[in-house]
Amino acid sequence: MAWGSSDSRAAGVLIAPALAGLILFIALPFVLAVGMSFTNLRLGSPLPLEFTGLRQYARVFADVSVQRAFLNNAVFALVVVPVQTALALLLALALNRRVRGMVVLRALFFLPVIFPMSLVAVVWILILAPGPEGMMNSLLSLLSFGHWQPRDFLHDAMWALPAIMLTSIWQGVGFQMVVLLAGLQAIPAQLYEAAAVDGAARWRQFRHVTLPQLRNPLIFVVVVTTILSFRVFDQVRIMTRGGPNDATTTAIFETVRSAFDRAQLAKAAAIAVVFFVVVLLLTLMQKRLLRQQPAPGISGTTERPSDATC
Amino acid sequence: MAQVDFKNVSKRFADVNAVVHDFSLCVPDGELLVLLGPSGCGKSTTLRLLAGLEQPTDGEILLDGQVVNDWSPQRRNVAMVFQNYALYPHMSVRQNLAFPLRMRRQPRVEIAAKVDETARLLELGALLERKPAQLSGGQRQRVAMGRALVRDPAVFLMDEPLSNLDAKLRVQLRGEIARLQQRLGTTTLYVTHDQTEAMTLGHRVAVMQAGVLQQLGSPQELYDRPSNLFVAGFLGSPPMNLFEAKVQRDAQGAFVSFGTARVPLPTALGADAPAYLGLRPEALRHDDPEGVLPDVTLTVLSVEPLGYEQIVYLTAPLAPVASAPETEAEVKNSVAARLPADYPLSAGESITLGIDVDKVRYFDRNGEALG
Ligand SMILES: Nc1ncnc2c1ncn2[C@@H]1O[C@H](COP(=O)(O)OP(=O)(O)O)[C@@H](O)[C@H]1O
Ligand SMILES: [Mg+2]
Repeated sequence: MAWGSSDSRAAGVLIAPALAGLILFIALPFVLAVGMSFTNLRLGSPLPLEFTGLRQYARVFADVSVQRAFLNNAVFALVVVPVQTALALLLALALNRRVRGMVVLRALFFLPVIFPMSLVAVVWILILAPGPEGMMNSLLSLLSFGHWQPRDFLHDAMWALPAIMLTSIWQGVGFQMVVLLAGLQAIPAQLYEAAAVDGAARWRQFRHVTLPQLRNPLIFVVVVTTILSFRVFDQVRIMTRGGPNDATTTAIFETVRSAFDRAQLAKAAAIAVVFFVVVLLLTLMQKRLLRQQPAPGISGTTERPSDATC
Repeated sequence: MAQVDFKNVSKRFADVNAVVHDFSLCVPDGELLVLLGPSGCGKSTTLRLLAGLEQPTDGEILLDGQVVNDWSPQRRNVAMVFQNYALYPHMSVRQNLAFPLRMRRQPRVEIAAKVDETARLLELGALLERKPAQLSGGQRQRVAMGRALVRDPAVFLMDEPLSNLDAKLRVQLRGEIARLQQRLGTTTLYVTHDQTEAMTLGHRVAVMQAGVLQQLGSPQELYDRPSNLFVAGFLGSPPMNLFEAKVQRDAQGAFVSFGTARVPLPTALGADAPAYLGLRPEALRHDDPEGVLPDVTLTVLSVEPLGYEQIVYLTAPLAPVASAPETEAEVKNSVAARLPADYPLSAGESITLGIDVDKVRYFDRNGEALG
């Protein structure tokens, strides 16, 4: 039909700007990076540019700092994803009530999300300040009745990564909470009523209605947080600069360090490509997990709204 | 199995008028009682009060003589079929059916056996592994019924279980519900706004309006002797013709003039003067060869042929009741007559009909039935 082709022409026109941006700012730089990763490119190097094959990748995989970076990312994800998700779920459940003032509470918990990470990081540097006057130290001292030995969290090989994790959870939990809260509110109240009449008490309603109905928001939250866990950079750069002794370095941090601190553009490109593959795999995993289930909802007739009759 | 009692139950939501007002009702063990009333009259709320999903503001609810006001829904052992079925979307039909049994911690083997039995009863065998989203409306309705049936509840509660289905399926499932209830003998409260459903299903029917119980009785009682103007105007299709009545007297006694017809008041009324009179459409008779019934000649306004009969709307010789409830195909200021379809009638024609005086109902100034 005639309108079919004019339709697709219109679609092409509408897509063009976005597509151009995508090619110019995402695809092209990425292709350049892949190309670069097969060379010996260094800024300010007197050596001639030449094709070096997989040598950069060999360097990257042998680099102890890069190894540590990916390990840190994995540990970070393994801790932050479950803790942050569980915390967000608890918050969402607690705030999913029709009580006066609940909106204010929800807004408060969401507030850190709209702060820039750099600001949050600076605030947490102050909170984690060394010495007994530091807010965290004095709090822990109070809670342990004076048994806590003040320490310099951000310069302590054992405490630096947990400190970064804490900061990230504090900043990110509000976003997950809002996603899960929306999911909770989309669950039809009638399912809980049916479950109650069927004999399910509170906990079993949670197990058999809430959790299965929250499946898709939960998967979304887990996957997004996992990807974000691999992108951790700002707080590391500002709070610890990857230290002490690579204790808090991350993949992105290593990329930036190679490119801008050491001018090793080719190596940075190789790290970026490896990083890309990891995130791609995570995204594919998400698609697989999400594909299985239909969207949840009440299983009544859809052709007619419930109050149409009585 | 259980007997259900509502004792002066009232339910108020926040600052609103009572949604259910001083509601008293006893449903004996094994009865299928239909709660009938227009949309928004408080039927669902009444059912939810019994299920424990709402708390009464006043009064007591009893199951088998025990006050259950403080009992949780989990403890009451009632089963409910929701209007939208409220099946668990993430569970298969089998899991939906098994859910109430699992929640009651029954042994696995027993659950499997009961689910199979229920599936056989409702012909759900082929659908057991499907999800609710993969079922048709009628199939979902069956699953919802099955989830209620599977666990031998004390009471069945059904909230307009057929209202989302098409007419044919509705008639078919109506029959199935009646048979099932008969067979299981479980006390059942069935909510509907559909009078045909109420009349065909209910052992007894309770008519509600604005949160108040209007009349309780067998379908025939409600039809023959409506206790007030509301019930008279709500039941029947078309409903009872209701008019303001002016009582006159002559040598033969008290009567009401209906056009040229002299309708004598029954002696049973005694001294009470009726303010309104009601005529079922079938109380206007065309077959009065002996001419024993008082005659009235009226003009035809419109005709609704229904195949085996016709509903004929005629000019009303009296003022209609202003407060009569809205009805479907009503022609304003008219009197409806149900006549055989044998002879053709058309608008503008005059027709002489006899009034079956025994079938005329009378109501007092407050709308309550007399006699
Ligand atoms: N939770 C509630 N809060 C306030 N009003 C309600 C609530 N539930 C029902 N109502 C009101 O109570 C009245 C009766 O409702 P309902 O029992 O659902 O009527 P029916 O089932 O007969 O149509 C309606 O006017 C409805 O708006
Ligand atoms: Mg209702």
